[in-house]
Amino acid sequence: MPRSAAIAALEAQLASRSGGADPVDAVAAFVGANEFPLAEPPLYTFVYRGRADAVRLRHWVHGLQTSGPFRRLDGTDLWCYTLELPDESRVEYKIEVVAGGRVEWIEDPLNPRRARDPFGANSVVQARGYEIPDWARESEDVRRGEMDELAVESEALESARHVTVYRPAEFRANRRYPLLIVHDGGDYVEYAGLRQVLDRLIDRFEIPRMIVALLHPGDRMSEYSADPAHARFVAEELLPRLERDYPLLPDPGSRGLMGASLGAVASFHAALEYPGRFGRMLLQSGSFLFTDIGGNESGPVFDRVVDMMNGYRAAPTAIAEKAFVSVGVYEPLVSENRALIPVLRRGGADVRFVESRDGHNWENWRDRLREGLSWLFPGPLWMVYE
Amino acid sequence: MRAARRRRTAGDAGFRPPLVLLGPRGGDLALRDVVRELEAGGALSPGARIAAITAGWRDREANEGLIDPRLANRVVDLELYRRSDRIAEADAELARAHRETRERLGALRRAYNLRLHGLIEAHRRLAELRGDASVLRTERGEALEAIRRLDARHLDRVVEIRSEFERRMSPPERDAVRSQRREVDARLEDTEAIVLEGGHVGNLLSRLRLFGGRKLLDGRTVIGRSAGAMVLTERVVLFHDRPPWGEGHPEVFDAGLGMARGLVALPHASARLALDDRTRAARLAARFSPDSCVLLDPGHRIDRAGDGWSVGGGVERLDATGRSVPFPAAA
Repeated sequence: MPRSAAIAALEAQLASRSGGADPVDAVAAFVGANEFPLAEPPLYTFVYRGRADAVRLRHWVHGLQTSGPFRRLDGTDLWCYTLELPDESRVEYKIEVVAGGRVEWIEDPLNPRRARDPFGANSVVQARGYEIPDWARESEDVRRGEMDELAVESEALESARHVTVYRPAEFRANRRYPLLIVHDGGDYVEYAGLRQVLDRLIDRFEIPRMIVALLHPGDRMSEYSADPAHARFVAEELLPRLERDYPLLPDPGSRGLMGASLGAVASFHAALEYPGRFGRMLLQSGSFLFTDIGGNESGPVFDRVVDMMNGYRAAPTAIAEKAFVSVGVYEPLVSENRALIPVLRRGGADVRFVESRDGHNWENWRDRLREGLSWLFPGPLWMVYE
Repeated sequence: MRAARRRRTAGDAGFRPPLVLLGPRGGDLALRDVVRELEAGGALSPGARIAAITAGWRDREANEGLIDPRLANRVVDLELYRRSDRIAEADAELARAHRETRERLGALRRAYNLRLHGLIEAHRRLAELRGDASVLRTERGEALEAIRRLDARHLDRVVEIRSEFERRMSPPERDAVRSQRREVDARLEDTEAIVLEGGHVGNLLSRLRLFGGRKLLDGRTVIGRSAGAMVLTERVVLFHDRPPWGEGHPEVFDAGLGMARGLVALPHASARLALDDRTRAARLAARFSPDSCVLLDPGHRIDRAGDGWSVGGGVERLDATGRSVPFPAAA
């Protein structure tokens, strides 16, 4: 168990009671004088203050125990837990507090850093070397794109679908643009800052001005898990509608699909069902489950996914010219994503694969967008000197 | 107030109109200040009209507010970008041939970059290798020569492909081009200077060529800013040491108009070059030696002076060891 030097010093101070110091004052002074989690790279100490029967760190780092037990310092209400994190790590967590028979997961009261997702928010620890990318931050100086709201009738899905379309700044109806279709587009905007990322990367000439269709799923678990109806909606209904309403470049190399988790599966599946239609894929932390022997044991949602991946692994085909794949090394899907890379290459795709010290979360996906988008859709960066 | 000197013109014996290269927008050097100095020195008449080429801004072409609003009533934009669109609409055969040429050049560029990457990697690894100094010196020298040969051959191929297009299609003789050129000539008629703004260097260069290239600029004071400075040199070199992905090796893009000789213009140098990486900077300098790799940042200005350059101060070049040293200076 790693030991924090700062905690050891506090314990020594408490033990000696030098100058007759009150432990409550000593703890208050310690908490007031530090930022938490306490960073002593590579050690990071999580601290909770309060009455409790037990306190645990709850994180989603694959490879570590999901629950890290805090230790209470003798004679105080200060609980701590020290974790060793490699540089550039970024970890989302909650603190589990057990008190009077109640178990509660809370955001860390001593840490202001938060990451939001559709389920709420988590606290975040950023290890040495991690920084929020400057291009992911909102800026007043950037020319901004606009959003259109569309209702797209779908026979395949037997209902109309709401699609938000991003049009870049300085959009001209007499120019033609690449198209990117984004699964969970609303969440990408809300939790990964996709709109400002697009604005910034376009403004910096790192990607071209492009049209981005943001999808909002209905029954996500069903539609995004290799559902032929969803693939048909994307390729046969949405794409023609967008081609009718927007000036799009006609070649597959100017059309891309993107998604994270099951959204990556939906992107992969649509490209697989309609080969030659989409020349670019941006796949983040895809739930690309497969089996080498036996059937799917990950639940019925993944039956079609496992069938699809097993079939593709047995006979890979060219489904896109270029694919960017990213995954966090702290997420359980890291092996499945690593396994996908040689198979995609055997199928003929030019693949760029990036691992990060992060988990299955929106900010991890955000942080990879610059590299992924600019690799799939390179902008005129090299050509522009204003 | 001191009266401006009589303006010297192209008809005066031995007179060459001023040629000014500016760093990117920003800094405390406004276009109006440059124009005022040229007026005070007699190179421009007071209040002279100025032509602007803003084709590098593409769809934002002719946005007067972006040039220098204080000169707006004196500036006439030649609108070469918009005119090239008109030409493409009117002459589908020319547009198709141009597109095919662009695709050939794109294929050539991809092949060049593949080969360049291998050669630069070899040079980089040789620079790190430790061992017999005399052996390594020779090997490193040859590795550098291989890069220089590739750069030179690539440039020849680009010029060859472009020349082939020009021979085959004869753009100046086509109606659509002639008609637009006549309008440009009319706009140029009472102007004494041409300002080439920056932006997309490829678009700027191709539009300049379509409208006569160097001939379009001859006889007038020329001020080139950023990409506008790059196209005035003999070789346009693209660079970005910190791209979103990849190694970012500088690449030869095309021949420039050759009016500014002996230098490679590198606008936004501080932002785009890893100047603290001396090995990398030295390689860049060596690739294009004996031309000087000139670092042009906002506020920088250099003026042609005889066969050399005069500099207001602060402009630097890369020396053979990759250090930034004042430009011009003895090598």
